[in-house]
Parts: sequence; structure tokens; C-alpha cells
Amino acid sequence: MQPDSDHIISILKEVVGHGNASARNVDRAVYMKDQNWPFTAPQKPDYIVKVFNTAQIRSVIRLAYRHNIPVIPLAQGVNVRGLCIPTQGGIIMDMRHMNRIFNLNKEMMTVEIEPGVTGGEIAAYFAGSGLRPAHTSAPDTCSIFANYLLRGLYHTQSSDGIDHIMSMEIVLPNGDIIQTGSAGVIGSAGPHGRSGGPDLTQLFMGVPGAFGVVTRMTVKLYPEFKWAKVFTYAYDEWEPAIEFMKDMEDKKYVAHVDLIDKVLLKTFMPIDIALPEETMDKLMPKIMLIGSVQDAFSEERYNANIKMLEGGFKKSGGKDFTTIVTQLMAGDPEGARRELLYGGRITQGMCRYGYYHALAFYGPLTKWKEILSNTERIAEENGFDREHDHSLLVIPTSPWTGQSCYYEVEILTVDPTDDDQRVRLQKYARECISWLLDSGVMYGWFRPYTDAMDAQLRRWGPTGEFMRNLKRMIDPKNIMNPGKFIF
Amino acid sequence: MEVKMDKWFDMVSNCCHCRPCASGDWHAMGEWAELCPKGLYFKMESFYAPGAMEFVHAYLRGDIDPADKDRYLEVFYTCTSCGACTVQCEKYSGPGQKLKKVDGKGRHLYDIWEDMKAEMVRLGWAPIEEHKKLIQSINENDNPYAQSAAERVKWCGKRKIKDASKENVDVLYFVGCTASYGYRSRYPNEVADATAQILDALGVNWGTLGNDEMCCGSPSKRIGQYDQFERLAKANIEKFNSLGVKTIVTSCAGCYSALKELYPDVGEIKPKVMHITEFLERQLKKKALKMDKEVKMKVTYHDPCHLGRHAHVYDAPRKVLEAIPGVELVEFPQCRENSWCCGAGAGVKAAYNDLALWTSKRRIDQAEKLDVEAVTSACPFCYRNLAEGAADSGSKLKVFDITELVAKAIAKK
Repeated sequence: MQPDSDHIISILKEVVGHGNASARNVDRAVYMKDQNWPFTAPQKPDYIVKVFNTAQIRSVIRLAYRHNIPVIPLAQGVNVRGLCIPTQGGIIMDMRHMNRIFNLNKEMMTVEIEPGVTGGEIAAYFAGSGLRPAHTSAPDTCSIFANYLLRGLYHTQSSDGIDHIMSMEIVLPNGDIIQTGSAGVIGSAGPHGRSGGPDLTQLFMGVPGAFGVVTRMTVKLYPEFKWAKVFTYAYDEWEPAIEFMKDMEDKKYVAHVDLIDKVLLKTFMPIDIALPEETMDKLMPKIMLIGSVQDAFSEERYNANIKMLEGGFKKSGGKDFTTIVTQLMAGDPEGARRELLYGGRITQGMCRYGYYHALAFYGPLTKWKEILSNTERIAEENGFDREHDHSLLVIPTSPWTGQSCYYEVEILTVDPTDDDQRVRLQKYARECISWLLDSGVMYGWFRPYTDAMDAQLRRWGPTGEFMRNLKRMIDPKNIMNPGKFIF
Repeated sequence: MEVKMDKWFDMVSNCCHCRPCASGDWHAMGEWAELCPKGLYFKMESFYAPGAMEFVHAYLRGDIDPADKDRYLEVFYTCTSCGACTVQCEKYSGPGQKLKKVDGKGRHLYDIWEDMKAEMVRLGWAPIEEHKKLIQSINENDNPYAQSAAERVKWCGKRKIKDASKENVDVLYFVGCTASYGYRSRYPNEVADATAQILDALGVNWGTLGNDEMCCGSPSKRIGQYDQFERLAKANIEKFNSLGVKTIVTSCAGCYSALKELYPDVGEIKPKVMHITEFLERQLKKKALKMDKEVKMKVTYHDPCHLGRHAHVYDAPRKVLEAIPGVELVEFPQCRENSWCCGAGAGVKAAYNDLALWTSKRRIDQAEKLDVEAVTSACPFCYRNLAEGAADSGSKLKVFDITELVAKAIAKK
């Protein structure tokens, strides 16, 4: 607990209202852990504040700056990688109820959002409007704001890319408020375009609130697709599925595609109807390609793309599992279609057994075999079963360079009550991280995971030092989410 | 009834705060909406299901500060046991699958919240002050309304109703405390009277337990008074089984859920238990229910939580409503398993009327947007709270129980 805690909590209550701040033990316990608990040890914050606007955020930040209290911004709280765990105590700034969608500019195809807006919320808001946001493949209960900020994976046209933010409003650690992009220029036509000089928006992306609190952002919208087909193709071996996936991305006839292995399939497919594992074992193929073809403007182009997809599928020698999988996923084809095209209700499919552990990174598609065999080996050496516990997910990412993929290496059977497993999991993760960093199979981490970034920063040389200096300059008292990203 | 909190350890340990529990299925609703009344009212995470999970987890690992007691009471006693969280958790989340294995027969998130209340009773933290009178009244009068047991049948007026304890009847109408004593409330309801009219019109050989009817025990269970619930359940089961009736009909969703969902943990009820809407749906199928008077009205239907999410009765009320000549049914976007609670249940009306009314007014606001004349429901407790919410918000919407509309439709011309 921070010194003068009675004084601090009384000021916080003045700022946000009595019922919106707490220093009670049990309220603090609510925020002490997430799925990454074996690596980011559970830690209670000292205070909780529920904020509703930028003015309140600035007041809280100024108080924290004055008293050297860490501040951990939290957009929705569906966190899996320890980025919002208050490892050094401090204030959890809960922004769930800052959830306005406003200033829609149809002409510019942009809209402003606040941190608490979820994927489902923005998808519902734009459904049938002619415009759509980039639909994340994260659960629809996640903050779309945080997803855009940390760059996610999307179920829409891969050519939309992974950067969807035009400009931001940020409360800096000293309480100053800045705006990136053209929004910061007095007399600007709006918060939509770039301004001269470096793009400051990018500076605040990919970091979990370590440079300040992003309080609103202007995001890109895209034309709503009129034609869409969801497909799921099954394979007994990895190679033909990988080849087919490469063809899809090279020729760009699909909007997106995910390669999912049997272990992962078993965990999230039967979530709605809970088939026994033995049944799933018999039913599920070794590899599945799940994706979609979408088009907003041209039925002719859509049909041509479908034709190319069908031709590629025939050549690949796969089996069409669309009907079976869509039934299993959501009980009906339309349900599965919604899950795959919009925000998904199957929020924690990968948590059929409870928690899961994932290491996600970008890497060349050509390295899939090395990644698979070595991470399976490390998993087995640490007592995990490659047929039951270990999984590899591969998703080509945009901008597709013929190589870039999102990889997710997973242990899906994490039991938070098993102490022995926790020790094995920690060792497995350390060995995997070292192997991935040493073997030249990855470009970089998907997200700034605490345990993975620590190892990366130590290998980053002058770049790492530059990052540290940047952090010191922006946040001299190190109050913004300390212990995350920059150490 | 013994509370074994340890059985929840695996479940609460695995809650990963994925939060489908906090919102409805926007695919089905066509809109994004939070469904937890207390979460949305208090807005602090502690009041949402993932927060409450961590409260239970903290309790089970002994991480309790003396100052936490009041917060525990507030977090759990503001829960209406509406079940919105459990529907979404069971359907969409991995940890929710674990609920199916608890006790070998499947449990729900609201079972955790109610067990925690019972645990707080065992610890001497509860009952909360506002529930003490209710508990005392059930002990002394067999109803929670501090009304004399002798006045239970006043709703009958001059109507002659058979005493099922003394006369042979086929159907026992279990009236329930709210419908029985409703005539004294600020917003008198006609549920019992309408049900009696309908049963008479159908020519059913029916009766009630008269002044001997006891509370079903639902309020006791929902506020953690498990011993009181068990006493009432045992007494009721014994009574029901001794009557020789074939069917028990209730017009209260709370009573129905208690008899149908809670009593099997205590003992077996031999007669078939039906909600009045299920009973009427069966009469419709048999073409026994003749409704020939037009009730020209555009209405919406509010799913009572204890009938819908607890007992999965969604279609019967709608089929009955749609069969009434002149009635046009317009659905809430938040309906069926994505329904917004009326706010009254699990002792919240008695202890946190501000929350109960806020919740009810939110439902009335939703109905206002539908351009309907009335909100209908199938529970006298929902009826009462919705009517209070409508009056409090100055709404011109009328509130009816389905039985009232059926009674209008069968009334002699």
C-alpha cells in the first residue's frame, strides 16, 4: 500500500465520485491476476478508479505523478498476457465505461471511439450501415480500442492491414494532453489525416499504456461487404494445407485464412454443444483451413475469387468440412458465419480446459516446420503431450510479403490450481522464448509480453537503450504501467 | 442444508474474465447490451460476475480483510439471481463448461452467488438488516410480507374455491405469496383472480391450499437462508404428495422455479408442476381454451428470469399471447435468454429498492421504444416491479400479467 493511502483514496473519490474509487482489499483482488499468472505473479493494485472522461483521467494522472504512484490503464480487462497486472502496485484506471462511439464521418470513413468500446459493440453499431470497422478475431467482449492500439488479427480483408488508427488523444504522465495526426493542428479539417513530421500515433501503439493514457482515437472504417463465404477445409497433413494457404495469399482471392491444428480444433469447436473429447478425436482432421472470401463492390470479382478458391481446394486434395465445423462451432451455419465474419461470442474457445498459454509472434511461413517440431519437442521435454496439450496456429498477415505470418504456439491445458504444472510451464516458456530468439525463425513478438520482451530487450543493443531513453524522456518518474515493455 | 463452498474452487480458479457473462448475445439481439443489472448500476468490476468470482476465490483462499465484509454483502445481496451471466458463461466460455460437472448434475453461476450468501449466513455476516423482517415473517406467517396467514385467501372475495386438502381436485393452484397478498400492495394485481377465472372457464376441477398454503421458499433460498428454504420445501413436498392431485399449477415464476428447479435437491414432487402459461398452452393444443373476445392491444412480453433463464420456458407464454384475439406481440430486442431482468428478485426489492426501480425503469424505457401499449409478463413479482417502474418514470404504458389478458378474452360478452 502506498504511503498516505487514506489521503490518496479520498482525493481519488473526489475526482471520480465516491462509488467509483476503492482501496478495499477485495475490490483490489479482482484485478490481481489474468491468464498470464504463472509469469506475471498476481499482485493487487493499491487503488481502483473507474473513470468516465479525459478530465478525470488527467486529474488522476496528475495526482499519481505528484506522489510517484504507478498507473495501469485498463480498457476492458479481457487480458491474457499480464499487461494490465499492477506488478508494482499503484492505481488501476478502469475505463470500461468510457465507451462512446461518436463523430462518425461517413465521407472520410472514420469514427471516434473511447477505450471501453468492445469489438461486439462497434460491430453492432455499424451492422447494416454500409460501413464496417476492421473486425478483430479476438473475442467480441474485448476492447476494440486496445486491440487496435496493440495491433490485432482481423477477420476482414487482409488488405485492410493491421493499422486502423488515424489519430489519438493522449494524457501524458505529467498530465499534458496531446493529439496525434492532424487533430493536433489548430485549424485542421479534422482528426483524420497525417500531419508533417514523424507519425506520433505509431509511437503510442504497441505499448501497453507505458507512455501515457490514450483516451480516444479516430479509426478507419471500410465498405461493408455485400458478398461473403466462409470455408473450412480439412487435411491429414500439414504440407498441402500450407501450400494452399500460400497460394491464397499470393493471389489474394481470400479475405483471410487461419490454419488450425487438431489440438486447437478440439478445444474450441464443441464449446456450444460439448461433444466428448473421444468423439472430437475421431471427428476432427489433423489440420483445418478456416477463412472467408468477401467483397464489398463486385459480385463478378467475388465469384471469380470463389472460383479460384474452389480450384485451389480441388488441387490441394482437402476435404470440405464447412457443414460439420459450422454446426459444431455455433450450432448452426449462420452462427458460425457470424463468429467468423464479425466479433465472436465464442470468447474463450481456447480455454475449454480453463486457462491457456500462448507465445505469439511474426515469422516467415517457410519456417513452420522448424517451429512446429522444436516447440513440440520443448513441450514434450517439459511433460506436455504433443497430441493433447501443444498446438500451433498459423495465420498469414498483411501486408503479405509472401512470407509474413502470425504464429501462436500454445499449451491449451493449463490448470491454474496445479503447482507442478506451473513450474513446468515456466521452464517450457523460457526454453521456447530462447529457442525462438536464437533460431532465426521469427521477426518479432506479436505483443509486448512481459516475459518475452525482457529477453528481447537484453538482445536489442543500442535500440533497446534508445527505447529506454524514450521512456525516461516521456515518463521520467516511470509511473506509467511500470515493469511492462520497458524495464 | 449444508453449504460446501470448496466445490466451487475449480470453477472460480478457472474464471479468466472473458466476460460473455456481462453482456447479451449481440448477434441475436442486433444490438450490444450489458445484461447484469447490478454491474451496470454500480459500474465497479466487483459487481460483475468476473468480479464476484474473484470475491469467492479470495474467500476460499482466506484472503479476507475485516473491512471486506460489507463489500461482500453488497456485492452478493444486490444480485437478483436473474441468471443472465450463467446463460452466456455456460454457452460461450470454457470455464462455463465446468459448471456442467459440479455436483454431478450441473449447476449455474447463480448457485455460486447464492451459496456465498448462505456461507455469509453461516459466518453470521448475514442476514442483512433489510431481510430480517422478511425472514421473521416467513417463520411466523409463512409469507414474506408480514401478513397474517389467515388473510391469504382474501384475494378470493366471494369466489367459492375448493380446499384441495379436504376435497378431491385434479389441479392444485399454488397461488404464491405475491399473488395472494398482492391486493394490499400499492399496485394491486389481479393475477390470482384472473387465474381462477380461467381455470373455472376451462371447467378444471381445481382448488388451492387456502390459508394453509406456505411460501414456496424461493426468497429464502435466494437470500441464502437455506435452512428456512429446506423446511418450507420439505413441508410443501409432503403436502403436495399427500393430496392426490395430478397437476400443480403456479402463476408465479418464482414459485415455479422453486418447485421445478430447487425442490429436486430436497425431495421428489409427485404431481406434475406447470406454470400457468404451460398449462394454457396445453389447453390451446387440446382446443379446450376458447378465447373469443377481442383484446385489441399491441403488447410486448417481458420474460421473467425464473421462468425463462432458470426454467427455459420461453415459448409457452408467447404462444398464449399470440392466441389471444386482437393481441399483437412485439418483441424486446433483449428477450428470451438475452432478457433484461425486472430487478425485483432475490430480495433486492426488499433491500435495494433503488436498484430494483432503476432496473425496472430501464425495462420500461426499452418498452417505450417499441411503440406498444402494454408490457405483459408471467410473474406477479415482475408485474409489481414493472408497474412501479412505469409509474415512477411517468410512463403511460400499462402492465398486465398474461393471465389478465386471457381472462379478458374469455370473459362473457
